Order: sequence, then structure tokens, then C-alpha cells
Amino acid sequence: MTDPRETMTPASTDLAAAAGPMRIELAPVRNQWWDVWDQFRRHRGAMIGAAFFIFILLFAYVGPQVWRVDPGYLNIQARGTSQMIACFGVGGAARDSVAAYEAAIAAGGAVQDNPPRRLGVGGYFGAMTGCFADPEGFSAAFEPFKDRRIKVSWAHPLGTDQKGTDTLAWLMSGGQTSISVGLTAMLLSILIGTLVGVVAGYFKRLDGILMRMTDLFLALPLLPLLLVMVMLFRQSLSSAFGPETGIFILIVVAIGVTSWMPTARIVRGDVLALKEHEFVLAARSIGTRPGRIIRRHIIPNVMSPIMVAATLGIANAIITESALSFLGLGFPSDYPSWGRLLNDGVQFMQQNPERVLWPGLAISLTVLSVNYMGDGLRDALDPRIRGQ
Amino acid sequence: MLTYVIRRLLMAIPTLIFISLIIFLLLDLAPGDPTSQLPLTIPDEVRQQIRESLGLGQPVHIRYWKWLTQMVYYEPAYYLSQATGWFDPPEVARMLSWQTRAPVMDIILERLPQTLRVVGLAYVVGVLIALPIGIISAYRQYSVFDQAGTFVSMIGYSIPPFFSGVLMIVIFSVGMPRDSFWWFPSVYDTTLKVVDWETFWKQVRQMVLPVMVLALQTTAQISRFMRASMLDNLGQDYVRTARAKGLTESVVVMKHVLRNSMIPVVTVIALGVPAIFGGAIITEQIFKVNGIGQFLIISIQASDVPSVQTLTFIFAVLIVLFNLIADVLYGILDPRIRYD
Repeated sequence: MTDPRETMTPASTDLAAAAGPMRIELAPVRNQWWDVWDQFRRHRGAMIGAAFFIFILLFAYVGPQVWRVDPGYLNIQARGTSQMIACFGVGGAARDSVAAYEAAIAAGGAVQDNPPRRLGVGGYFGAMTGCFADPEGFSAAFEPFKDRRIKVSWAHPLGTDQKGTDTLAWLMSGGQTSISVGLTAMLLSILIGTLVGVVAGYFKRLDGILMRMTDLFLALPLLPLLLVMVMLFRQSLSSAFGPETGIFILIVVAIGVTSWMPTARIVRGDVLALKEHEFVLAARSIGTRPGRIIRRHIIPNVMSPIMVAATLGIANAIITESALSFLGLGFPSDYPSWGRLLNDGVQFMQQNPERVLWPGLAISLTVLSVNYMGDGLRDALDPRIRGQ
Repeated sequence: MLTYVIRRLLMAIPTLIFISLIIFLLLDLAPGDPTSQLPLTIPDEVRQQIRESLGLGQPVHIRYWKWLTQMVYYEPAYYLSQATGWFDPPEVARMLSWQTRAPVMDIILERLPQTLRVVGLAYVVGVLIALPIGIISAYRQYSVFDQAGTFVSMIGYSIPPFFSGVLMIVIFSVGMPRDSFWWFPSVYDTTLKVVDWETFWKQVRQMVLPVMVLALQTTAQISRFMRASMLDNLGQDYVRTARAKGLTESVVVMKHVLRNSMIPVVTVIALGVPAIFGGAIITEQIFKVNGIGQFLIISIQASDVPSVQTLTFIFAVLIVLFNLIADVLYGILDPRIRYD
């Protein structure tokens, strides 16, 4: 029988000898947020979502510097203009009617195919390119044909509304409203949610009453109450802060106070678990005050769920605000958000479908991109998934 | 279990009282005056009399008490006596809507069938589509089907009903030629009576668009839950045991895994019922279904306080009730959970 220590010793010296010439490769010291970023970058949907969200931000906030058309400017002659995409349908329109076909040839110089009086593929593309090259002339040529009328212009690539204001410019200014409401309401909701969650989780005495209050808020019918709140306080806030600021404050506060509950629940759960960790005990044993423990030790550790909730909160706030505006209880027509633009466009759906399509697409794609970002963020912030 | 249900029901009472108080006080602050729509030539004293006839002269707590007793006692008693004839209807005036001067409850009962028909059917359709999608997505995780399912449900989450509804109208009501099979009416005709096959077919066609819009949202949510729940169970030991016993895949999946996975899904389905009533506000507005949600909107726009209070309170009762139902269902379906 050999002594276990004897067999151990050579092994350890061997190890030391083997380790001797080897240089231990230490990974360069890096912030954990770089790891999070690396993981986030691998989530394809999240990256596309983030790119699109940045694009939407640029579109709404930098766009007006590039497309310098005042959304309030009325161009009576251009009212009811269609978007330029309508040019793709021109060939089809010309194919159906002989007179429209001749007008298309006259305006666009489309190639005449055999048999005559029918546009072939060449004629179709001729009419289309003619429409894109000279939309005003094309519109004039089509003017006499009531049912096939087309009115397009590069001055209004996305068309105009019934008063002749530019849809693209409205889309940008509506985006500013929608996105700033989304971000501000999210901040408010996260603030309330984190406060309630941390206090309920950390101070046992307040836990019961705060969580009972959270349950109560969850049992409230939120959309009806939001509608009622907006209806009741719109007038008084508008007169106090001016119509634009008043309605902004009202909607942000209304969304904020009705959407903090999920955040509070998640944060409370995490704080309850964190409170039992040794580092909190250590901090308390050296006499750290509760406020400092919360700021220094608790909050940084619950940042991950808060960030995920914040991302999803933007989507929720944008959808809620659009729903209110769509029902006519949100922003007014002269200071519209995307939801209001959509609502205003519904009456003109038949002549100008682009007036509902673009604001609706903007809302949906923004929400979709934010949801994907939240998805990727959740994965990136989860230490069990990260680094695999 | 029974004691648990009774305790939960008792606990629901203070919750509902508190919610009713919030709703009542919030609306009581309304600066909207029911006489503001009347002509300006009406003298002030007549105006005051109109206000008093609408019950506005009394202090807040008396009005609240009257409203609450009306809601939870007199109105149910009235309908009970109408239905059974066991006792005389209570000697209390019915709660009247300010805009139509008709009893609020009668209006709601008149409109309820439309809402239940459209919204209820949409929920059933949504759940029926969602369950197989969730099951297949989980069983073939990361397959093309799963990826497509994830994408579709992400879209269902992201496209709000006021856009999907309008999009449906643009495509199927505006874009399609009137005589095509794919043309669907964008306005729900409530006066349509189903008497023969032709009117039945008409009814079906006018329900297609609203049901599709609502079902898309339901499908998106339920299918994700179903998938997650199936994935949780597919990795369990009892599944390996079942396979080791030589059971066929269909028995393992459809009998063992599905039954256990359905437990949380059933509770989620129950929790979604009141939310569907809330979501239907927008869909009913778009397709002009004159159901409960649309009644809420026109009442809000007309400052019709009694109707708004009643409707909001009914929504709150539904939420509390279905929360309770979900919890009880969980206890019944899952023997591991015991409420003591």
C-alpha cells in the first residue's frame, strides 16, 4: 500500500513542472456589458430590430432636416395626391381602357406593341417609367378619365391628405410624437414599477400593502379607464399647459400609472431573492443604511429585468397611445401621432389607402423591432445563456 | 377546495368595492355636464332641475351608495323577478342612461349577443388554431415550422388591432371586386336576422373580418404559451419513461405530454377572456359591431356617466371573476397544487 500523500506529491510537482514554462493566458479585463453586447450581437432578430429602431429614430428626428416640407403647409392644388408607388399600377390602368392607353403613350412615350391597342410588357414598363419620370405630365394626361384618374408628384412622394398637406412630413412629425410618448411613458412606468418593487421587496412591512395595491391595479379594466381618464382631464390640462403639452402630459401619465405593475412584480421577486445574499448581509453588518444598500447593491443587480421590461414597455406605450389616438381620445389632428394619422386616414381609405398603410406600418414595425430587441436583450442579459 | 373558493370569493368583495369606488370617484370628477349638450336658451333653473332629475343634487357618498346598491342588488333583483315571477320587481327606479334615457342594463343586454357572437367566436377560433401550432412548434423545436410560428406570433403581438383591422378592410373590402368570393363586408349588419341558408351565409361572411382580426391576437399569445409549456414537459423524466415503455410517439405526445402541458395553458385561456372584452372595444369600433365595447365608446364621447360606470364595473367584475376561475381551474387540473 502506498501512502496517498506519496502518490500525490509527484503528481503535484509534475503539474508544477508542466505549468512552469506555460504562461497563463488571462483574458483581458473587460466590462460585463461587453459580454452582453457580444451575446446581443449574435441574436439576428435583435440586431435587425435595433437597426430598424435606429432608422425610425433618424427618420423621425433627423428626417425633417432632410425633407424640409412643413407638415402644416397647405397646397390646395395637390390635395388628394397618391403616393408615387401608385405608378406601378399605371400600366394596368392603361391596359384596361383604350383612351387611357393612348394618353399613357402620349405622356410616357410608351412603346406600341402588336396587336395595337393593347399594351404589351414593353408598353407596360414604358408607361410606368414615364409615370416615374414625369408624374405631373402623366397625371395631367390621365385627368379626363374619371375612373382611371391618377395624381402623383415627386413633390409629395407619399401623397397628400384631403387638404393638400404632405403625408411624408406628417409621418415624420407623427413619429416624433409617438416615439417621445413611448419613451417618456416607459420611463415613468419603469420608475414607478422599480420604486414599488424595490420598496415592497426590501421593506417587509410595506410588502403586503404594496403588493395588494399592485393586484388591485391589475384587476382594473385598463383600456376603459384610460379612455375615461383622457376624456375627463383633457380639457383642464389643455387649458393649464397649452393644448400640445397638456395632452402630452396627460397621455404619458395615464399610460405610466396603468402599466407599472408587471415591472413591480418582477423587481420585487428579484429583490426578495437578492436580499438573502451574503453581500447584502455583509453590507448591513458594517452598518450601511438601507438607502445606500439599495442604491449600491440592490439596484445594479436588478438592472437586467428592468432593462428588458423597459424595452417591452416602449412597445406597450406606443401601442396604447396609438389605440387612444385611434379612438379619437388621444392627440388632436393638428398635433398628430401615428395613431391619429391612421384614424384620420380611415375615411379616405378608398381614394388614398397609403394614408392608413404608412402610419400603421410605422407603428407595427417599430413595435416589432422593439419586441425583437427586448427578446435579444433578455437572452443577452441572462448569464445562463451568455457565453455559450 | 370549497373553503378556498369561498375565501377567494369573500376576498373579491373588498377588491370590487374598492374598484367600484375608484371608478365612481374618477367619473364623479368629470367636468362634463349632462346638460351641456342642451340648447343654450334653456334657463338656468330648468337646467338645475334637469340635473336634479338625473340624481346629481345629492352628496357624493349617497350617490355612490345608491349606485352600488342599484348595481349589485336592485338590477339583478329586477331581472330575477322578470324571469321567474317569484316576487314583485323592486320599487326602485331603474338606472337610466343619460344619452338614451333607457335603462343601462337593458341596453347592455341588448348589445351583449353581438359581442359574444363575434368576440366569443374569435376567441374560440384563435385558441383552436393556437393549440396545434404550439404543439407542433414545441415538438419540432427550431424547425422551419417553429421559426415561422415564432415570427407569426411576433407579428400578432406587434400589429395592433386598429391596424390589422384597417388592413383587412383595405385588402378585402376596398381592394377586392364587389362580386368576388374574397370580398367581405367591412360593416357588421346587426339587423340581419338568420332565417335561411342565404342569411346564414351572409352572417358568416360579415363575421369573417372581425373574427380574423381578433383571432390573430389570441393565436399569437396562446400558441407561445402552448409551445413553452410543451417544451417544459417534453424534457421531463416521465416522457423518457413513457418512450422506454415502448409507447408510440403519438401516445407519448398527445396523451402524456399534452395533458400536463394543458394545465397552465387552460388558466391562461381563462385569464384572456376579460381581456378579449377590452380588446374588442377597438375591433367593434372598426367594424361597426354595435356591441358592448362600442357602447362604451359612444357613452364616453357623450359623457354618459351611468353607462360608463356600469360598463367599467362589469369589466372589473369579469377580470376578478376570471382570475378566480383560473386559480380554481389550476387547482382542479393539477393535483400537485393544493390550496389550504
